[in-house]
Amino acid sequence: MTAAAQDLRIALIGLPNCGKTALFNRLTGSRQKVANYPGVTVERKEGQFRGASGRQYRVLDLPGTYSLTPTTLDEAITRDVALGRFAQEQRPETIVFVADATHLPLSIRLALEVKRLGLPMIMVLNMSDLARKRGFNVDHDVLSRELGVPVVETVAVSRRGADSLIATLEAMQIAPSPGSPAGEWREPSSEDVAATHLEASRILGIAGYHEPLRSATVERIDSILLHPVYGMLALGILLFFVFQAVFSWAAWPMDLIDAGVVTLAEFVNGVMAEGPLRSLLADGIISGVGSVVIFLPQIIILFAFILALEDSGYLPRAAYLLDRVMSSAGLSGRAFIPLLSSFACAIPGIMATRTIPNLRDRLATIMVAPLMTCSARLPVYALLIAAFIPDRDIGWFNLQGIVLFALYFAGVAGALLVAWVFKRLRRGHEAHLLMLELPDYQWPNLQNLVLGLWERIRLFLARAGGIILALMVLLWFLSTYPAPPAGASGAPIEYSFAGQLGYALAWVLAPIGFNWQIAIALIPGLAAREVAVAALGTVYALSGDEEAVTSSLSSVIAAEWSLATGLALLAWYVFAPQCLATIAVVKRETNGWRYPLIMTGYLFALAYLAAFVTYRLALAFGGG
Amino acid sequence: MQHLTVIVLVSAAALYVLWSLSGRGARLAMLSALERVLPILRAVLAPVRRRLEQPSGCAACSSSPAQGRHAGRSR
Repeated sequence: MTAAAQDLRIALIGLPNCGKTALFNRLTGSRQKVANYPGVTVERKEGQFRGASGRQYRVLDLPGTYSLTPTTLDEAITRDVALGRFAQEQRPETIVFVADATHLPLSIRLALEVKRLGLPMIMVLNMSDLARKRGFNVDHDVLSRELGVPVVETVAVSRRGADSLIATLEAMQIAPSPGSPAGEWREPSSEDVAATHLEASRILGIAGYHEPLRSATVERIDSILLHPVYGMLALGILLFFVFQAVFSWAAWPMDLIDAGVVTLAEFVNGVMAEGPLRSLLADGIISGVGSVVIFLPQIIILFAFILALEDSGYLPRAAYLLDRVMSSAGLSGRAFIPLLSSFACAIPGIMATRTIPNLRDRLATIMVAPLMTCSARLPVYALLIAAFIPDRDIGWFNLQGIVLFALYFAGVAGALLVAWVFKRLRRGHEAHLLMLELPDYQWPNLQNLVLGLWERIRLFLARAGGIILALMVLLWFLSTYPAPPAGASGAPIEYSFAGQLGYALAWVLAPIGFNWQIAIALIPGLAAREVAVAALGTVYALSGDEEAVTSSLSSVIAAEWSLATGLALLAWYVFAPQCLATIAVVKRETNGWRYPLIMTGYLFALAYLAAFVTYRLALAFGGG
Repeated sequence: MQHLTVIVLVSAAALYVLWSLSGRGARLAMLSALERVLPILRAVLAPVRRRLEQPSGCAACSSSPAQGRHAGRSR
């Protein structure tokens, strides 16, 4: 068999935030998440492409690492794959070493270490356009000769360079060697590390490398954004603006979707004969799923800001700013990025804790990650805020936006408080200094932004059309059957399985002001938080209330619930346990049930306590 | 007809929810049970089984406590 006919496995290795995933996406047409900070990739990702010769290339995108002696779990994955120790993963046959052309010294050191693995290697100088703009000058031929590998320039976010990388790969005609052993590789000693450092300096010297000057503009911006007072002020204003925008800008598209959902329900009721299928479609699926889909514009606006901030290079600076606050609560500064990721979804956030070297710091971060307000909580907040908080301005600010900001802030404050308690409970805690590379600022890449947003929209709609839809069908069944007995005076749902379950749970939830409809909604809400909104939509649609079908859910619950109940449910959702998928990920990442059980227990207790206090206070102030 | 369609939809939704909310072990058990009952589906289900059997995340890494080794061991 010819080499061209066989697949070739390529591993992308390099420092964190050097552009490996951008190059991976460019080569394979994938849409893996890229951002301008280290630690985005914490798992191996695989993609493939076909060269002009017809040869198929399998590309592995690996977490960034500073050396092959790992200090974190994500770095260990890179080492294991490179050495062929990763379970059920054959050793790669070629390494594409990705170097950030603007920060070469660390890259050359790692490249020398990786080269000792004995695999064919190509060095890619990524971000070469930026380096050139900064007066960077290095002799590629000398670099190539001294390293003994081909050197290719790329700009991973554009097509340029990827073609020459593929051409170089094709020209090398590397023979496949499935499962080749790692040879006599051993972890480098301190003498080896020192020798590698000297060798890297020597190569850079003769290749004509000199450290690029730091941009004066970046220095000026950093003097404000990293200032302990002005920086915190800027961060506060920025976050405040984001939450204001979520409410102010999303109003008309939400009204549009709402009108569409109501029209669709009315259309189904109009054209179909009365029967269980019509009820399932109108009351179960359209009312339920429609109640969630309506919040898509708010999610898009929130993520547009988050993605733009991720691409800009600002987030590691925010981590630096908040390091003191976080360390006083017992969290490592490196917890910032995982906790920030948890605002999208706790699952990638918990997985991102692999970048935290200290096991105790990692566990503390995992335990508080669910308190960050994930995007699934946004529909719940938005529904309750729209129902109970007046849409009016206070000065320049919208009151609903202020409440949303306060809820996000409450989640963060809760996380810091819980982390502080963990810190008091565990012995031998030592402070760890935050070592974080601050990337250059850049304008958010429009393509990244659009792809990132599309990915969020796709995930949201996939959940709405997948698990949420399926749960609503089941909930409709449980809320419809058995049929009410002859002569029953209440709404049919009250006699159904779900109604009976709701009534059975109501006594536990009565002290915090929740009625039986909320009790029903909380159960499927454990599968995914936004399902609670869909469940309320279905439950009220089946409650025999005509208004529930013809008007928005928020106006129905505003009429049915007291202000105290609405606020108590908001407080519940600040702390309520995560979805089952998150608990499963915690189990996987901690290798046992101990931590997921502790997490679930403390979150339930906190949620109940917060809802109880809120409900009682609201009643005392006349919100009954 | 409406009743029949509803029965099919509710059954499919129940299976989907069960599968979605199950962990890897439970999914493998369901798969094995299905293969026992309907051996003809074995080939169709093979890719699903392969994906489920492949270790992922921390469990696949040699530094994972689940593998009985640790990164610091050989230092």
